[in-house]
Amino acid sequence: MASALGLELRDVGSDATPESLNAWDSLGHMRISAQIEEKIGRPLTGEEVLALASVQDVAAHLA
Amino acid sequence: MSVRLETGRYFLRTLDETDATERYLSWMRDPDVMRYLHARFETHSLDSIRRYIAGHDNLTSFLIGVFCKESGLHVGNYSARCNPHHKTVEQGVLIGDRAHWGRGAVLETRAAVLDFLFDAQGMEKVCGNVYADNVASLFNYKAQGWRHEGTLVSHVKSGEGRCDVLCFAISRDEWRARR
Repeated sequence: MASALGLELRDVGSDATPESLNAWDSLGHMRISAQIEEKIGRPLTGEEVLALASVQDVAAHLA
Repeated sequence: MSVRLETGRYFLRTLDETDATERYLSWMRDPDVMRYLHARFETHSLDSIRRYIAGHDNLTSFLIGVFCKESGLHVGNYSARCNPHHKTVEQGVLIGDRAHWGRGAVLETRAAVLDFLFDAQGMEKVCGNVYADNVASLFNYKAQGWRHEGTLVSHVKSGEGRCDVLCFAISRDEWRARR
């Protein structure tokens, strides 16, 4: 998350959301999605992209 | 009617034939800009752009240009086609100037367009369709409070394969509750 958003690790709390992080904008969301896709080895569906609304959502996707 | 809207960083106005410029044409010929638009399958010229502009009557269909206040440059467009019977609108946006990508331009300017459509035009529901792999656009629709109403599965060609199209909408009441 931190690398995708260009932030320090300490700046991305476990409860971070797009509303709480200015860096989590449309381009940040693209980078987050791309990194998830690289990790899981397949494209995300549109619904999955929409469901990434918090750090916890991202973590759940990578679990 | 001629449209004139203003936000913090942009002004928006109805386009006319003089807005068919080499700058506008360069967007239509840029594969990255056109990646998620159906118009990418067409051949574009200044004449085709003039015809496209002229095809909006400014009564029920609007082509609204987005201009950067600081530079005065034309950076993108909104297309809005209103159904006066059902009070619904099909809208889409193109930010052709890459310098304005990732700067909140859509969230800022589409708010003004929604105000215009709901308040000045009396529309009751605005709709927009997005390619499923257009992550930035999906993010913007959600961030602005639009509802994901449905998905057209494997509906369009995208890249080397096919992808879904997600249908978004927002009602006048929903928009006013967010303002």
